[in-house]
Amino acid sequence: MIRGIDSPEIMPWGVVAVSAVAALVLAVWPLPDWAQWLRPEFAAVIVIYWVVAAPFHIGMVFAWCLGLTMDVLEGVVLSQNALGLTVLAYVCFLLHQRLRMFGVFEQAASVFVLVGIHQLIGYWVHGLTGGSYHTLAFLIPALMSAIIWPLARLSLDRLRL
Amino acid sequence: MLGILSLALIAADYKTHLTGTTRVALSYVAIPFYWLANGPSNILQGVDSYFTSRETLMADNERLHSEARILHGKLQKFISLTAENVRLRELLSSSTVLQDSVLIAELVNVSADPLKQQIVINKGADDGVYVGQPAIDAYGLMGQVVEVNAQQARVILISDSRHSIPVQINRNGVRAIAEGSGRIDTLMLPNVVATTDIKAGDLLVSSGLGQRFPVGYPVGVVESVMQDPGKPFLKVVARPSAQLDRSRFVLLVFSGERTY
Repeated sequence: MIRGIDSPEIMPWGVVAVSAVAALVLAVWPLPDWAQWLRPEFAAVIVIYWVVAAPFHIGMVFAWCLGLTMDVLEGVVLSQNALGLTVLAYVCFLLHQRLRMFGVFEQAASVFVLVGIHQLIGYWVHGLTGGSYHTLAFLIPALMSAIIWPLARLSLDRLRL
Repeated sequence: MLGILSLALIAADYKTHLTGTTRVALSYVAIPFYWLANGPSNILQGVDSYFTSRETLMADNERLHSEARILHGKLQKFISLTAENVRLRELLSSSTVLQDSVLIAELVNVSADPLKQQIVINKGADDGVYVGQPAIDAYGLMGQVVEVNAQQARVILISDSRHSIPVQINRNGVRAIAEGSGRIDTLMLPNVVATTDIKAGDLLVSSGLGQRFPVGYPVGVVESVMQDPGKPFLKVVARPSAQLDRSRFVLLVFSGERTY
């Protein structure tokens, strides 16, 4: 269960910023070629966590800005990640009360579906802008995100205190 | 609303070149992240080179010296061949092939998006790098520069699914297009007529026809040729010559003259 943050006074902006920067650095962390698909979508995990924890302070604008930075880092068409993360933030906002009550494994399952939606949108934009590499492997990062979710949630919960 | 904005941005970025300057400005944001992500490996390399033993260095030195000697020997022959080539071309009164000069750049980052085959290198507009510039490694053609800021440039690899390069078979000069497949170890040659003389093991070199790449750099080796009797075209798969997934150093080619 994620504790909600409802007043701006206790909003840990520092932790939000640090986690966002960490997610971006991990997103471009050098990996061997065979492990490229195994990289979790750290930015998406961060967005899910913070939108569920503080839905009235962190939302689609945060997700959009984070996504745009991701686009620049990855060198993809602007908004490929931003669009996905914005939609992700919106869905998380709608579901935040339910997601808060879930146990950690139920949350991980939801993370798989949510990040899967984000990946699907990114893949769709990739195809729309001329990419012709078709594979279902784009769902692997969603699975990896679900796997790291318990760890990510635990560490963010600790950092917030 | 942000969704609509995103869609508009996608359209703007993909269809027009309006975002070109914005992208260059934005790309500076990426530099510190690449620097941070490369930090540990850079430190490790520093430590590693600091503690390299004298024996290893001496052995390395010896090996490099002998390698240089061999290459110099080969180069002597190459110089006379180049001169001869120029003379013959003058006889034919066609344009001369000039020597290309190169700039060495180091790889900073590999695109984190597995759907894309792109790398970032540590040379930019300050070093004279320009958009469209070909990049090679010691074994063959790697790709071309697609985005430049002052200090870094982004190179699209020939294996990217949005990249194609005009090639010809070194053995007989048959021309084709090598398309990236999205996998780092495969190129596809579409629209090769079933009667074409092409077989596994053929070396593909750049033909220079697109007026983008200099002529004569190795691009790939044909790996398999499959013929489906029901189809007019062959299914030709090639493996890139350049070590796209291993090269840490990239050579940027400055063509002295358009060599097509």
